[in-house]
Amino acid sequence: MATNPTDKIMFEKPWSRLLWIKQKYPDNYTDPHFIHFMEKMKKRREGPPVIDYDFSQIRKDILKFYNIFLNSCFIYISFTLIYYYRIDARYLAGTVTLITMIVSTHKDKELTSLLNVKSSLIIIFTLLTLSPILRSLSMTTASDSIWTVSFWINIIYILTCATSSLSPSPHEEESKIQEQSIFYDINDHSNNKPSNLATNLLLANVAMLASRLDTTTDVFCFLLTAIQVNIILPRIINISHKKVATISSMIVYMFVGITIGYRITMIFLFLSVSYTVLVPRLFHYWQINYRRRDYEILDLWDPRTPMVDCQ
Amino acid sequence: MSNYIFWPSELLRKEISISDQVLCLVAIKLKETDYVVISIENFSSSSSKELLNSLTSPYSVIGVRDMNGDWDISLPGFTIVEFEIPKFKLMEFYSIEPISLILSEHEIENNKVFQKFPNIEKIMGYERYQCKNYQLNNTIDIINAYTANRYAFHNTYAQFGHFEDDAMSIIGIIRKWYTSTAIYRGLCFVLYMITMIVCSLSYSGYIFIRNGIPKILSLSSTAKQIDLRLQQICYFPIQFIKINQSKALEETIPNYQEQRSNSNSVRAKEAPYKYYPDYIRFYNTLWLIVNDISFGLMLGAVLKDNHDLIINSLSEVVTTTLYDKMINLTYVLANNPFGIKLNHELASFLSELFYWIIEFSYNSLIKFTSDKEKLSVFLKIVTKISCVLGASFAISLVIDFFSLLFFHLYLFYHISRKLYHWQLNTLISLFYLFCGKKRNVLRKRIDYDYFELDELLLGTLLFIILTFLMPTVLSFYASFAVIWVSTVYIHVILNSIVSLINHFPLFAFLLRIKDPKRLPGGIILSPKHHKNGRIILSLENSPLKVNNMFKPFSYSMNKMKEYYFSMKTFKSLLGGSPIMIQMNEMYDVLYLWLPEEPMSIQETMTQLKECLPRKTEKLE
Repeated sequence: MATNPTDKIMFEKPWSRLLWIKQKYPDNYTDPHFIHFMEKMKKRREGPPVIDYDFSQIRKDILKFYNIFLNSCFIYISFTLIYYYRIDARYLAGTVTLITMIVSTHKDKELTSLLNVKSSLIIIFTLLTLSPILRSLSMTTASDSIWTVSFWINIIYILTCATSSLSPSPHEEESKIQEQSIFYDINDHSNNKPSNLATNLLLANVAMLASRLDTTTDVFCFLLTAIQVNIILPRIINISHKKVATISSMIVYMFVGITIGYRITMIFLFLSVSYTVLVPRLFHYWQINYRRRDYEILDLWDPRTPMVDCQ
Repeated sequence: MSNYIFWPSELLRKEISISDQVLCLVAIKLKETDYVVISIENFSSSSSKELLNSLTSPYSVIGVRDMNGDWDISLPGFTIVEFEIPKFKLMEFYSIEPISLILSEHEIENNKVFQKFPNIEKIMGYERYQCKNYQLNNTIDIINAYTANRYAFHNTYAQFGHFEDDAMSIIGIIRKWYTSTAIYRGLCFVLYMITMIVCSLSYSGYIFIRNGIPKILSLSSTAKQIDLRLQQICYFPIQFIKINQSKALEETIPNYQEQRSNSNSVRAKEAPYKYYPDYIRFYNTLWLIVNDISFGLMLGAVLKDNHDLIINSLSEVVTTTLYDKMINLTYVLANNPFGIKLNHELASFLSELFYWIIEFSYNSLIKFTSDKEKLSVFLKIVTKISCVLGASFAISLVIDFFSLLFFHLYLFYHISRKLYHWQLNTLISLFYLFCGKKRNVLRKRIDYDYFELDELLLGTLLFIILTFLMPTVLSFYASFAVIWVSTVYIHVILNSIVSLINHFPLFAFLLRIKDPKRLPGGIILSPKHHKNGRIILSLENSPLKVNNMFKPFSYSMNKMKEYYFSMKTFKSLLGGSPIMIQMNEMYDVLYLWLPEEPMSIQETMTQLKECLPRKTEKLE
């Protein structure tokens, strides 16, 4: 310390806590800022909690899971209708397409940006070409195993889809405007798109289920319905909106009530209500009382993994 | 620096036996060598004293013993090293480096350690790692030529001692007379002509195999065997010339008086023992060929005795394993093997394809070869070839026969492997797409990317379809890969038997047992006893290590292990990379005994002609 190396260093590049950069500092160098930082953290810990956890944000995030769950229920509803109740798949697909058309005429300029003619042609021809193959593929596989695989894929789908769009929009006012409107601004790519993995999982689930259907038409119509309900519509409509959520809840509960029975529907209802009401409160409580508040230290002072320049 | 006096043990014994005489020690020392005692002379008479004092370089008197038997050596800080005189006639010699049984031109690439470090040559070229002191090497050269050196000394100074000239035996006289006659010259010429004809035939055969039929060497082991034998025949005269040269060199007497003008350098290159490895290689090859033929005779006898039994069993084995069992296997694979439900359409398509190949190969090949009469003809041919050309040829023929028979197995493996490999790679890239990632070709890594809905849909549907089809392809691939790999192992085992017959270091091995001094693997200097308060070191030969002798062989074994029994093989089997019979790799080691290119026939001819005895030449 006699030569006072800190003085020298002041004029050089400031030390940064990055292991993969060669710096002109000794290996055992301790940044003087570290002590200041620790003292600041200590003071903050002793005082009242500074961060005010936003309860409404938590509730919104929790509800997102629920909404995606409701949305994915439509796959099973349409599948049950075609596979078990043997309704004509063409009518179902036609109805859903009509709804999509109506919704999209509301914002038809954006629809063309989302799905241009080339893409839709490719999708339709892909479905037409591959649906007979899909149908014949899993002939030898037992139905039970398909149900199990579908169940697990769906769970992974809900988790990935919800977590990939969890983080709140950086501009609060914009996001508030967005939340209040039923329709998304499609040109805004910030928040309303689930990750590729989620979309793929959904498609995989749908394709697995479709391979159980009897005729090629059924397969085609089912795939078309599922893609519209679960991929295209959520990109146009805000499924977290109150009206949309209420309508989809009503449809799902009605369907469960009619097909399975009212007792189970009641249990189902009770579970979902407790989830939407209790879980956010519990989580908020945990955040205020039990959450570590020194994660900032870990965030700043722990060796981070190098970022390889991703796009 | 201490001086070393290399003292032959024979002279040490002589010194002890002569008591109560004044003796002096005459030694030879060239530039950059130690003293090597060449003679012990009587120092009592004045005439000899005068003569001894008039000795010129490289000879000098380095010590005198008085009447009491105490030596007074005129060198400061000397150490006596005792050594046995290497028997020249028996081809014994000392060597610091272990002698190489393979040709030196193959050494570096043969060495596994060198292969690992490509910069090794650069490092070796660095002056720090280069040995500058060749004193011991040069001294060893003198010791190796000890007999000739002593002879030279006695020739120059005829007054000293009496060198026991070999009394010529009767056989020697007859031999000398015989070699000077015209009959001998004529016989030599006839032999030369025969050698030349055989050599040119084999050389043209070699050229024909190399250039006439492309790729035959990598396909047929019989061709490889023929090629090897032809190259060996082409190399024989050259080896013979080298050995002959060394014999001629043995008889020349180093004349240091003349050499002094050439700054006393020891012409190490021309030292005859440098050609001894050639001698060993030559006789090893000859012996192996003889051995091969004797094995072949045994094998032929066995084959002939059990002719009917072999034919019956072989015909049955070929039809059952290559036809019936294959059809069975394909049927099982097409119909839910082990209760695993495969994709019916694909499985039936593949099995149809394989049925067709089996039927085709049955009609065109297996039916023909499993016919008992034809098999009998083939076996007779194999028996005869085994008796005439050796067991290696017979086994090679059998290998080729089986590789022809196994061809449809290879086709099965190849088809299912291609399918599997293609599907696996597609699945992997589609899986990346499934996770929303993409292979970045420029940076060779997997990056995130954004895909459009249609891309995702197409990719996912294809991914699911391929995933459903994977078990079917995998089961076909797995079963045929196992069959193919087992046939490859049969090949490998048979091929290693052939290579064992072809290059087992038999001669060197026997030589090692008979006279280890002929196969030096280095020298040992060990303290032997004290004399007058001095330690006398003894120079001994450390014979070549057995594992050193088998180095090329173990190298090829390691290579085989690497190719067929390693984790890498297993991984490439899993990844669907091809597993082939590496014919070239397995035989590489055989050619370590041979030069890369045989010498052209004209050159061989001229060189060999020089070795012919001439009429004008006067034999000494």
